[in-house]
Amino acid sequence: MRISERQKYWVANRRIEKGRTDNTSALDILSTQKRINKIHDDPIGVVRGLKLKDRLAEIKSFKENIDYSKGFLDVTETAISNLHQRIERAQELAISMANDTYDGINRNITSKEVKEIMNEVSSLANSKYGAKYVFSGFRSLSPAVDLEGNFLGDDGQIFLQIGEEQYKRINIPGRELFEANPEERSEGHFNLIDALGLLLHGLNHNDKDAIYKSIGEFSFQLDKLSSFQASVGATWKAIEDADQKLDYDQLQKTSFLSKIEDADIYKATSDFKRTESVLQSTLLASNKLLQPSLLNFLQ
Amino acid sequence: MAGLFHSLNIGSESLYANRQGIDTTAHNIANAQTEGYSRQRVKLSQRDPMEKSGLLIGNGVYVGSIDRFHNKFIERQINLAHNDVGDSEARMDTLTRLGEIYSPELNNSLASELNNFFASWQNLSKYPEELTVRTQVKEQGENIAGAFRRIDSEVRRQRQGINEYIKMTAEEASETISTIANLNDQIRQTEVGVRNPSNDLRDQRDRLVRKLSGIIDLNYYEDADGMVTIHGPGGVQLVDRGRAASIEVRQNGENQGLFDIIAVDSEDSSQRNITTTINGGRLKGLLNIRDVVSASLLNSNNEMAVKFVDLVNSNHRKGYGLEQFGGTNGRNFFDSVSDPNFAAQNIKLSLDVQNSTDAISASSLQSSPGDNIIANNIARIQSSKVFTDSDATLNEFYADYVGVLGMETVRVQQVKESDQIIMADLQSRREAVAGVSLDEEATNLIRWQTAFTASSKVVTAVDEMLQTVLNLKR
Repeated sequence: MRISERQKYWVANRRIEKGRTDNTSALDILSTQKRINKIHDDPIGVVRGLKLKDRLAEIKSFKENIDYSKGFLDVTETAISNLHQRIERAQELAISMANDTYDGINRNITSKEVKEIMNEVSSLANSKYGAKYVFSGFRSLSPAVDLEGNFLGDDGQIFLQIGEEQYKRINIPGRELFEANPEERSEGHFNLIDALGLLLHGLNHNDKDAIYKSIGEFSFQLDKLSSFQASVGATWKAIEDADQKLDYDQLQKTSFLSKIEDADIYKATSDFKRTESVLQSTLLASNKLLQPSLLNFLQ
Repeated sequence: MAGLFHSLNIGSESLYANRQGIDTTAHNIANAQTEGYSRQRVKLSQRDPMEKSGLLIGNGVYVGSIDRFHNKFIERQINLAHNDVGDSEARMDTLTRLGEIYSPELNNSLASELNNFFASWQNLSKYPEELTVRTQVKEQGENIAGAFRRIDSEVRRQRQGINEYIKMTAEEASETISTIANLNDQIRQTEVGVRNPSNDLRDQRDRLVRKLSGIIDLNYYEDADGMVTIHGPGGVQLVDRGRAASIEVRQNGENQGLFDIIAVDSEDSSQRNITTTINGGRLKGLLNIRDVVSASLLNSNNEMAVKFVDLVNSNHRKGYGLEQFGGTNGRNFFDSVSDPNFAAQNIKLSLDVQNSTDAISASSLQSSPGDNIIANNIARIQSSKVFTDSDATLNEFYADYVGVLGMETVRVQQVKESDQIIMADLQSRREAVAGVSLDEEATNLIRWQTAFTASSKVVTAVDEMLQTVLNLKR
C-alpha cells in the first residue's frame, strides 16, 4: 500500500489521540473513584443508581423517624411507669389508712403525702419530649392536664412513617389514660386524678368508706396503666423490628449502589498503568516512525 | 546541417521536459502536508516522428499534460461519509453538553433535591410545631424550585447556543457555496485552450464540496465545461455554474423564535424554507438536538414540575398552619401552575409560605400544632407512583428520562465512532492514491535529475560536434 506523508501523520495523530483519551478516562475513574462520571458512561447504571439513592434517602428518613419515635416512647413509658409507682404508693397508703388503728390525725398527716402524689401525677401527665407534651394529642403545645387534673388534650393520633407504606402511632391516647369513658363511669369509675381526690377526701374527712372505695379504684387505674405500658412496649417492639429490617435494607442497597457507582480500585489502577504505557510506547514509536524518509539518506 | 540543430533541439526540449519533472516534484513536496492536495504527475509524450531520406526519425519529447491523482468514486464516498460524520459529531458534541446538566457528579441535582425536600417533610411530621424545622421545609422548597428552574434554564441556554451555532453554520455553508461558484468560473476560464485540467483549482473545489457535504446533504455532478452543479436538501439548487444560492436564517415565531434555515435563489431571490428537508450533515444533527432532544427534555421537566406542584399543593391546601394560619386552610405551597409549558420556569413558593413559615400547613385540623397528618401525606408523595401511565414515582420518572438521554448519547457515540472509522478508512484509501509520499518524490528527484543531467550531456555533445564542424575549414 502507498503510504503518503499526510497519512503517516494522521495515523500517528489518531493513535496518540486514542491513547490519550483512554489514559484520561482511566485517570478520571482513578481520581474520582467512580465508575460513572457522565450519564453516558453507563445510562442503565445511572438510572438504577438514582432509584437506589431515592430509596436510601427514604430509608434515612424512616430511620430518623424511628429514632425520634423511640425517644418519644421512652418518655411515655417512663411517665407511665412512674405514674404506676405513684398510684401503687397511693394504694398502699389507702390500705394502711383503712386500718382502724389510725385515727383522724394520722389520716390528716398522710393526706399531705397524697397531696404530693397528686402534684407528681399532674406533672408526670405533662411530660414533654422536646417541645411536645406527649399525652396532649395534637394540642402538643399545651399541657395534657391542668392543675385540677382535668384533661386538656385531644384525641389526635400522631403517626410516623417507619417503612414503605408502614405508619406507626407513637402517642398513647391521653384521654383514655386520664379520663374515665362513659362506660367506665357508669360502672362507677373515676378519672385518674379523681381517684386520688377520693382518697384525699377520705383522709381529710376521716371517711373510712371513701378510703375503702379508693383502694378498689386504684386497682382499676393500675390495671389501666399496665395495659398502656404493655401497648407502649408492643409499639417499641414493632418499631425495633422495622428498624432492623431497614438496617438490612440499607446495607443491601448501599452495597448495591457501590457496585454500580464505585470503581474497582485495583482494576482502575491497572487500567491507568496499562493505558499510560500504551500512550508512552505510541509516542515513542510515532517519534521514530515520523523521522526517516529517503531524503535523509540522499546526499 | 539541419541535422545537428535538430539534435540540439531534441536535447533542449528534453532539458525542458525533465526540468518540468523537477518542478512538479518540487510542487508535490511543497504541498506534502496541504489539506486536500492531490499529487501531480508529469506525463511526457513522444513527438511525432519526421520522415527524412525515407526514414522515420524520432523527434524528441514534450510535456503532454500534468495530471493529478484523483479517484472520483472514492471522492463521492468520502462526501457521503462526511455527511454522516458531520451529523453524528454535531449530535454527540451537543448531547454531551446536555448530559452535563444531569451529571451524576452534581450535588444539587433535581433527584437529590427531591429527596431532601421530602426528607424535610418527614422531619416536619416529627416536629410540626418547630420553627427551625419549618424554616428547613421552606428552604428545601426553595431549593427544589431552584433545581427545576436550573434544568429549564440550562437546557434553554444550551438550545440557544445550538441555535447560534446553526446560524454560524448556515453562514459557513453560504460562504462555501459562493466560493465553489467562483471556482467554477475560474476553472472554466483557466482551462480554455490548455491541454491539462486546472489541478490546483479543482483540488480546492473538491475540498470545499467535501466541507459543504459535512454541513448539509447534497447532490452534485460535473458538466462538460468542468463546472459542478450542486443540489441541496429537497433538490434546492445551491450552485449552478457561476451562480450561488445563499443560506440564511430567519426567526420562526412558531418555534419560540428559533432560527429557520432559508435557501435564497441567486437568480430570482426566491426563498425556500429547508429547515425540515435537511437530511444530513452538521445542520441535521444540530436541528435534531435543538428541536427534538432539548424540546423533549424541557417537556419532561415541565411535566414533572406540573405533577410535583399539583400534588404538593392539593395536599397542602387541605392543611392548617400555625398561629394566624391555624384557623384557615386552602393555601398553596408553591404558586399554582398557570401554563404547563412554563411550569418549571415559573415554579416558586407561594407568597404565604414565602412570608411566613407558619403558613406551612402540616395539620389536618384547626389549631392543632402537633397534628402531622398533612405532613405525612406530602412526605408520602415521594414513594407514590404518581405517573400512572408509566407507573413511576417522581424520582423514577426523572431517572427514566435522564436514562433515555444517556442511552441516546451512547447510541450516537457508537454511530459517531463507526462513522469516523468508515471516514478514516476512506481517507486512507484516498491518501493511498492522492497523497504525497516523500520517499517516492525523492526517487522522482533522482529520476528527473539524472535525465536532466543526461540531456545536458546531449547538448554539450552537440556543441562539441558543432565546434568540430566549424573547425573543418581552417
